[in-house]
Amino acid sequence: MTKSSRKNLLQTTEELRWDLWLAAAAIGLTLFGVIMVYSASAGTKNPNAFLYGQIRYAAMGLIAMLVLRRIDYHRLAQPSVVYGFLGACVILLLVVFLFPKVNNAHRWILFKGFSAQPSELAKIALVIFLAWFLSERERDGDLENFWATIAPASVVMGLLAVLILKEPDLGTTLMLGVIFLTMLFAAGAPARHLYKLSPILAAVLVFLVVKVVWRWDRVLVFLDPERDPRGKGYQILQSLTAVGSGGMNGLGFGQGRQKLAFLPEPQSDFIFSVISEELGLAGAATLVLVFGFFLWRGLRAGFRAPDRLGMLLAVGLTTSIVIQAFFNISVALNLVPAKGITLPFISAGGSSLITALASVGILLNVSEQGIESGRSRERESGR
Amino acid sequence: MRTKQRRHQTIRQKTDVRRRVLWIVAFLCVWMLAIVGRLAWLQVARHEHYTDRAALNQQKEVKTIASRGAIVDSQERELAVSAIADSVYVDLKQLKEEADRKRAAETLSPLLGFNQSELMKKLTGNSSFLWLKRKLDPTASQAVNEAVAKNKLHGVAVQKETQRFYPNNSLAAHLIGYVDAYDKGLAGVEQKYNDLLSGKPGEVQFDKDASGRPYNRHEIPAMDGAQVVLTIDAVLQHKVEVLLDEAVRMTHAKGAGAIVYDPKTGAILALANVPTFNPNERPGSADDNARANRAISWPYEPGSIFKMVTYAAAFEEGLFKPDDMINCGGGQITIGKRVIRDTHAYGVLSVEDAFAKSSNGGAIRVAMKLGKEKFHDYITRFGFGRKTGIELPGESRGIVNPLEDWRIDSIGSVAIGQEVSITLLQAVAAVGAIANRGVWVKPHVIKKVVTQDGRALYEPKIETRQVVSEQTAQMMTRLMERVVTHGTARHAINLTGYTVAGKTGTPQKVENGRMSHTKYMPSFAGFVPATDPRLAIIVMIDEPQGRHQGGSVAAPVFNLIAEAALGDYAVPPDDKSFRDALAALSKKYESQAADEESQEGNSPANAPIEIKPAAPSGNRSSGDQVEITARSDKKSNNKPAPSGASVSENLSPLTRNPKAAPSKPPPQNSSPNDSAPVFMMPDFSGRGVRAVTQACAQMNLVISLHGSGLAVRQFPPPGAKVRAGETCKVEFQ
Repeated sequence: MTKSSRKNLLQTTEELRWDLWLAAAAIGLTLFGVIMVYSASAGTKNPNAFLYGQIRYAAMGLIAMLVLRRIDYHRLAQPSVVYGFLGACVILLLVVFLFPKVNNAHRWILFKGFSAQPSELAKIALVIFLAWFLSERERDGDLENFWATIAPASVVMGLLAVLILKEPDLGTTLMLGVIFLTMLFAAGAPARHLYKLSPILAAVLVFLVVKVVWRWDRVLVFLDPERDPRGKGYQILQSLTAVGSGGMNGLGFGQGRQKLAFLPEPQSDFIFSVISEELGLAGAATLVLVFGFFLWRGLRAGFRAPDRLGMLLAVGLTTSIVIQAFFNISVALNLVPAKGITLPFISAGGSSLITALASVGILLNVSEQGIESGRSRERESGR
Repeated sequence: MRTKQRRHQTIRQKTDVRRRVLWIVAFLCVWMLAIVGRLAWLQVARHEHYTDRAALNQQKEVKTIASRGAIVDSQERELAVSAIADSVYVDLKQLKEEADRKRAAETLSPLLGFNQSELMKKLTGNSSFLWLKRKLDPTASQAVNEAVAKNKLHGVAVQKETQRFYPNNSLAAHLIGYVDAYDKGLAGVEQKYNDLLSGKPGEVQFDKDASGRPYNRHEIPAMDGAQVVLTIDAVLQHKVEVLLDEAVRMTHAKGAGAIVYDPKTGAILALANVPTFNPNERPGSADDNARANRAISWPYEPGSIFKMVTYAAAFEEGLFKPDDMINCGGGQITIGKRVIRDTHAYGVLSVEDAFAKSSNGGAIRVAMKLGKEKFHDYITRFGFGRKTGIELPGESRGIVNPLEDWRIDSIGSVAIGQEVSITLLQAVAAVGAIANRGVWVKPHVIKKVVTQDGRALYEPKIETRQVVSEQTAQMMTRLMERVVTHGTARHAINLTGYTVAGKTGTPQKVENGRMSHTKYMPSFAGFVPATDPRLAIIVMIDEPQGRHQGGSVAAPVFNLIAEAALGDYAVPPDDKSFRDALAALSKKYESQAADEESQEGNSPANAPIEIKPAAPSGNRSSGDQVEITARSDKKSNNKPAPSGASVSENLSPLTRNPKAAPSKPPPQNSSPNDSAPVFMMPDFSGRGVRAVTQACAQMNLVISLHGSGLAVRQFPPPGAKVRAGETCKVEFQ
């Protein structure tokens, strides 16, 4: 990038050409998350630690967002950056195994009281890689070539997926798969190739779910939570109890009861249950709609992106966040089997929040470079 | 050129991509709708379900006990009280580890009186509440508390519970009833007023988290149960029970029942059955026979006492006057095909004598003249065949066949108290109606039910019904007095100073549909004083051995009960000749007293007065009436008594042989000794000097009076056991 483009970036900042609504949605969700994490962690030993932690992560995430907003997304889409990022992720995902298990899984890198989840980083890395790779293939006209496009992409996705699966973290693995399919689909990969992939993916998924006992139990519990209310159905029943007892208007902020050790991970995986209990249908549905709004603004940025890269980045980042959000919510509502997966922006946890806000930074940059509606274009040409 | 081509391609691709992205958007929108729909379903449609579930999850309720209300007699003497007792329970969720359980079993088994393996067997599973032992005595519960604290037995705790206690054991057991281990009333007033007695347990509601730690509490305080005040008088009740028991013992009867009833108010003053039971023991172990309140729940064929209804109906219809003559059929009477025999062959008698001698023929004639419709109507009016509505569970309505079921000869049977079944309660209420100028008063046994703060929750409404006219009632009273003076009860009733009206009955029991010739249920029902009735009493003895006539078996018991009750209630004598004699004596004594006063000079008014019981052979020669008169007179003047008051005529119930002729009392000693009868000290408070001296004299107590006015203090205290000849101190103010 040249000096002039830097200057241009500064100017656009002043003119706020980037999507303020998108940023507002993300920041709003983050602040809401900070508050809810505080409330949801009330039953833990040290709720203040969660609050301060979350504030710290939010600050770091916002900084990451603002920094990334200023970096032209094209600069991310260079082989060195893309592969470097992927390589770093792979290394971190391997390093994870050196650290002791937390909650029975190697998900964390623990370093001087600081912890990070490389799998969160892997998601963003995969999106950037796919956006770059697929836009390159598209440019070369190789998009319809299975071996040139889908096969190598699958290898990269597969590598990350296997490593995360090993942790084990089926939820994030699943998210990788969903991101992969969504982006291939969005990029315009021939449907027949996707059909070819889907039975393989389905088979793998079924195998994993059925083979590993506790996951199969979760499916059974999903089908009938009452079959074992004190044991395996406990979590989901507690979640439904929280949501159901919230009613129309909720019990009031901070008044939730289910978070007091009834709900597993109330400040993280099941924070939506706490929100539903305390803020009721009004609050919970609003939250869902805000994610819908975020989806609209993110995809709008994609549609307006000047090139395929920007488009795929925006679609990939937006959908990965929204799908994960809906997935998390669906777990809380027992619409899908339970998977340990966070609610983006809201759940406690640095890695999740910072990567989500970083994604928004990239999205904002895409929106900033967007081909504006008639008026803006006139202004641009008029200059 | 290349850029243009690329641009073209991009646009083509871009449209394609746009469509693809819109597919994704469409999918996500559907997902979003599903989420919102699901939210609405859970939070609106299923809200209540999950709220209940949440409460179940999050709240723990601990009941705080409400003390069960007391049952007291009309003088507020306690008949049933509740004491707090400790019970030990365990929360096995907190006492999880096998080792801990073993430790608990080890430490607690000796304290709770289990052996160790037995207790260990109890400590299995994961119930969060399990009684280990209920209602421990205080020392044991103290020991358990200490052991729990010392050995850190988590989950073992002591909870307070109430325990019902009946201080007088079997006294009035049938009225009071009893409770089960959970303090639920199972009989009598305990059952009928269970809800009011038990009050409302309070509740401390804890909000708890998943590990059961409470973090918030709301308390609804317990509401103690209300006090039930009975109309009975515990002292009289005691006497009636003792008398009945004695009567059953002497006659080797199967059982007995008696009711003392106030005909003016409908209050039951005493109601006793033999056999009885002790509600403090597990009453389930007593057989049904003992637990049944026969007086209200076991109907029987009343026999001749039912002739009261027959004659009253006839008088009311104006068919006869007491002096009219009636042909009693000369020993037998034929109705339809049936021939009914009389025990004695009476020819033509006055109506009055036909009744007094209990002629069956006479009663049947009367009934036949009456006609069955009217007769049936009066039977119903007197309250037979329906419940009286007394506040006790298990009341029987008795059996009065509907008119259409009467055979041709039924009127004859019913006239003499056959083919009908009645309860003692119905009978005493009917007798009460005659006593009360023809007005039937609904019997009640509850004086009131009051909350701890004195609010009345229940007070009986006095329900009355004019059954027959006052004239009829007067005629019936005359007839019934004649029963006592010249009729079937003439040898049994002797209440000096009082006029008595009554009727005997000696029904045969029906066995396998036939009249038994060996089993009888003699009874006597009546009221006293006849001129101004205060008490209606019925006594029934079930299957006495040997003598079985109502007049010879039941009437003496009636006599003794009436004697005791008249004394307790200080009913003034009404007999005219008695009062005349009294007046004469009083005159004579006044002059004598004046002499004494001049001799003693300035004796202080409140100096203790001692009245000594009569010496065995004392002044009996001068006649009972005179002696009593003299005593009453002396007391009314509040003067020292020169000689012992005659109490020989007012012997203790205990020493009285119910069958013995009242004129042959056993000798009494003037000093207390072991053979002297034991009494329960009555409560004198609020009574006048006259009543107190009279009562003491009856029990043969030496009395020491201080002050004047109404009694405020006494020694021995009410309810204490005293022997004849002991001294009783009473202070008046």
